[in-house]
Amino acid sequence: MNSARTTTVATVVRVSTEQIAGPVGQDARFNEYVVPELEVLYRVAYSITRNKADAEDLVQDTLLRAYRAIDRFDGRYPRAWLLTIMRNAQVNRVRRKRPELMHDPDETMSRVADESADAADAEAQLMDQTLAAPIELALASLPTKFRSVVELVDINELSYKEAAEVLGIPVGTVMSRLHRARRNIRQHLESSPVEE
Amino acid sequence: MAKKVNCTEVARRLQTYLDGELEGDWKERVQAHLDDCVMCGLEQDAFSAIKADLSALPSSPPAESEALQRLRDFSARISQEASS
Repeated sequence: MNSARTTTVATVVRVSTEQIAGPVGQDARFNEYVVPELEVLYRVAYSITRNKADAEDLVQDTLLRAYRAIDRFDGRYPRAWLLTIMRNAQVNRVRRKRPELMHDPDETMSRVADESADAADAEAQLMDQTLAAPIELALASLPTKFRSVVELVDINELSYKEAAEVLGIPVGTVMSRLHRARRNIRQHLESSPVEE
Repeated sequence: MAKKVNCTEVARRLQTYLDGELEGDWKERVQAHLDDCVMCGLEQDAFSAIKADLSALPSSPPAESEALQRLRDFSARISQEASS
């Protein structure tokens, strides 16, 4: 991590925690409900942003928001609660960059995923794909909104409900996108040349 | 005994069944059909294999452990900054 980034994070922590009047038990609740979910949060953040630095920033933003809200959390389904916070954090991050995307959160999330894969990433992915397994190529060939659901449910092992929280879409939409995505993957695999 | 279902009804619910998200007595009914029906059983095998291959893909980029350690440190700093 470079020094500029360290300074930025430290400043964010200092500024953001000025308003936190940490009552007794707040840290304990944070450690009980939030810290065990760090790995899942990072993996999901990477699925959303497709960029390691952005994923880390998004998780940090989520952690700060979670700390501020931990007193109001009822202790049920911490992962779903955190994923909702993460989704809201990501929508706000995009709004700061693109204020015209104010009205449709689902559309915003779709654009987030599309725009996060910038040209450099796309080129790197293309290079990687020359050595990738057929299943990876099939996954990479899916439109973003279908690929995101597969990554969340099949690779990151979220439930339908949790994936719906992240993407801000109904559970039924998660199911239909997931099922269509897998059918497309199957067609892709069936049409791929068999290795000798 | 649960009411029998046909291939069309099973096809509509097969992937939800494989994800362990089928609710009510549908799980039992789909399972019973899959035990008897060769064609639906092959469909089950195909989607199970795809799901297994997807599950085996790496879930996050390299250097995951370093990023996670930074996030753990960040979490600890939130508490420290708040209490100081």
